Amino acid sequence: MIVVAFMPILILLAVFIAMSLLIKKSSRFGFGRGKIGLWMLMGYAALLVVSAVIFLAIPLGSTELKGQENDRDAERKSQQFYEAVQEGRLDEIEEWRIQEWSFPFDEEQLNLQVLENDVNGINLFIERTDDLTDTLEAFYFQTPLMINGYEVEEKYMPALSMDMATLSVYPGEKLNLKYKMFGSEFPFRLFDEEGGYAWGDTTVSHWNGSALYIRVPEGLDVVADQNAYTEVGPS
Amino acid sequence: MSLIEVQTSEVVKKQIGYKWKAYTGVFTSLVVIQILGLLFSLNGSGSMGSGRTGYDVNITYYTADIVVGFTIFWGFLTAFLLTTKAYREDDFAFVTNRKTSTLSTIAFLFMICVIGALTALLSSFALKLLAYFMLPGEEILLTQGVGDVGPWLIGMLATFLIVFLFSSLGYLAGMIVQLNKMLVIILPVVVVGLMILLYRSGFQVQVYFFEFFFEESNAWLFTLKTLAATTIFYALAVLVSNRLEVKQ
Amino acid sequence: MKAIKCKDLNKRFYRKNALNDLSFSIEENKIVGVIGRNGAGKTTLLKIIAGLLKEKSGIVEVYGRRPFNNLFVSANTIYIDDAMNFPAALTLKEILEEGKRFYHQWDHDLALRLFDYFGFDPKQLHNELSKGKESTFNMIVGLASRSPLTIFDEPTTGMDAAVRKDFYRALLKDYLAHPRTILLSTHHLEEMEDLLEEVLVIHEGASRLHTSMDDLKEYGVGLTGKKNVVDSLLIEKEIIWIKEQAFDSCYAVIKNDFTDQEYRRMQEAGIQVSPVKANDLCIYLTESEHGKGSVDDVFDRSADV
Repeated sequence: MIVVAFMPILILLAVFIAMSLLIKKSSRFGFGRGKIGLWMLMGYAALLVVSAVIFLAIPLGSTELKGQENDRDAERKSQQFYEAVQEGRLDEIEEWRIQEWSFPFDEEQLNLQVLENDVNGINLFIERTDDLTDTLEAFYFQTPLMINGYEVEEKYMPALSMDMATLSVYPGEKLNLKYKMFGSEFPFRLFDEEGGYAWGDTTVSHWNGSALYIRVPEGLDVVADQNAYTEVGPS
Repeated sequence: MSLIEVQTSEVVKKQIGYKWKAYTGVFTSLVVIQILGLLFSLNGSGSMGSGRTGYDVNITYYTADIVVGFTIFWGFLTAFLLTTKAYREDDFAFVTNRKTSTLSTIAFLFMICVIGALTALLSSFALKLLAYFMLPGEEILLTQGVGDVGPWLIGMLATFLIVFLFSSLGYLAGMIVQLNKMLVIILPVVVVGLMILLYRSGFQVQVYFFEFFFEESNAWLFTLKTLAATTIFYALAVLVSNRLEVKQ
Repeated sequence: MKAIKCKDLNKRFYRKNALNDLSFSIEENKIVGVIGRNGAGKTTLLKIIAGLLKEKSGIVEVYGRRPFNNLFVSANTIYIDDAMNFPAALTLKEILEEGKRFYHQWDHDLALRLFDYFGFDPKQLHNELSKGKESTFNMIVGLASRSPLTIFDEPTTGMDAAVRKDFYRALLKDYLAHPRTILLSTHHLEEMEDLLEEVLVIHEGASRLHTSMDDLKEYGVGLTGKKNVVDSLLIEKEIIWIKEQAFDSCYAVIKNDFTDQEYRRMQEAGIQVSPVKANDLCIYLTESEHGKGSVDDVFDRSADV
């Protein structure tokens, strides 16, 4: 551990000594002899220019990342989302529907079993409706995960299974997303009026809303932990 | 033999050409230190993990900040070493005086700082290209401004100004040290000691320094500030150098 | 106009006085040898003249201007010593080209011919040269620069006898074709006798003697004879050096201002009169005044113990 703590200092020290040896005239290690320096520079510069050209030629889907401002946007959106869910206005959140299930059901009592792991809590909403008889309907809604304005395309959804009178909600397969983010160097960020875009500002929006919305026939007895779900009454 | 009158400007010009040829070693160190910086940067300048409902997001952040940092350091050290006796005596092999010697060295430092800043920023593309092709991670997130010419030029200017500013600091420090070798130890001790003393009395020099230069969001003001500081440091170095003898 | 003028020149290094009220002047277009023991202040003087060091007090003028930090003096002066510092990145050929760029009167043709004659490799680097080769190369730079004031400080360090001879000839030929002021400090005065026009003898930071080479050869005279006889002759004479020898005789070097009559008297008294070589004279002139005598005394004393 102690070595790790001193690593930056050691590296800097090593760099300092190496540089001094390289530049110092009398040094025998120095490459300062002959024209090597100029050739190295030219080769290096050529390499850099070529890589710049290639990099700019690659069709990269450039995403304008927005940072903090976008986060406020997401917060508003998520509030709207939950309001809509609470009030059962499913048509408003249609665009965020990811999956729907339908189970035939003719029991009088529904056992709701929610398997949660410690990270993924699934927001459950239950609506009793006259529309349905002998059927359960479930929808999974989720507003997209945003990384500074970049919309993550991969969608997460929980798994549902029906067994006799028990509806089990399993957390879905966790999505491991790995991204490479290319930032601009700090001199570029100096004059940005909005304080620039710095690494520290990167936010994976935690405002994304998700809801498992289950519609059950009117009068069905739902047995579950009281905190597991929210009863939704459409206005 | 007839005596020749020479112009300062003429000698300075000749010396710039001379130094350009003679001090190619500085480019070796530039290339080495930037490649070193690139290797460090390949690890990612930062990495962020984030868990959300059903998601485990890991973002590795790539930027050539380390290369730029190393280049600033290189500017300081190169200027520092150019003040050492071995390099100063090179000047005095041919026609010169302290004024032309210092002026041509500053002009030379100016040029190599431009080159250093340019390659440092270009290395950012090389880094990203390497990261793009070689390193794991499915998707690429770009922040703004990559490949835009306007901001790039301003960033280039800023990088150069910073490198040049630090080169002037290195040059001044080097000249002061040349007055007396003991100052190699005394100077850092005094500077750090003063900073600590001022810190105790509630004035943080380094914070003020960084705020003064690097939290200036107006490009013109930034240019003005750095150039003014650079000029002051170089002028002080010239004053010191006029006290130096060449060969002992 | 005088090429060089010094008056009451002083220089101090930390604790030691390097130059002590040194005064002399040198006319234009002369070859002047600067002679002195190790540590006499020759190099210090030459560096002050070249503008590389700053005098502590007194006046020093090169072509009427103070040399320290002076571009005019630098442009018209070249200072060559055995510790010339050329950039490590430049090849020998490139160093010559730089010389051509800097010195207006540079004779590149001469430089290249000398370069070939001494068998240099154009691609070689300066710091890879042997001591003798390095001195030879520096000498080429000094000659080719054709500076109105050319200063060689111990130019022959490490050169073998043949190269030294070539150097003296090259210097003389080039000087005759293009007269200029040349200052040479050397330990090989006997080899340079035919080359030098004037000699400046420096002793303990002061000018001991400044005269023409011809006068220097005649300057002193050596007397050998019985001690009491010689002593009687030395009254009211300027004794430069005296050494007692075996059998009660002694050898004295005195300034040569005897009249013909005095010569005759000396011969009658059985004193041998011999000329003193310039080189020996310089050694006698710069003998330490604290009476250390010669190195022989060191061994004599240790024999006593």
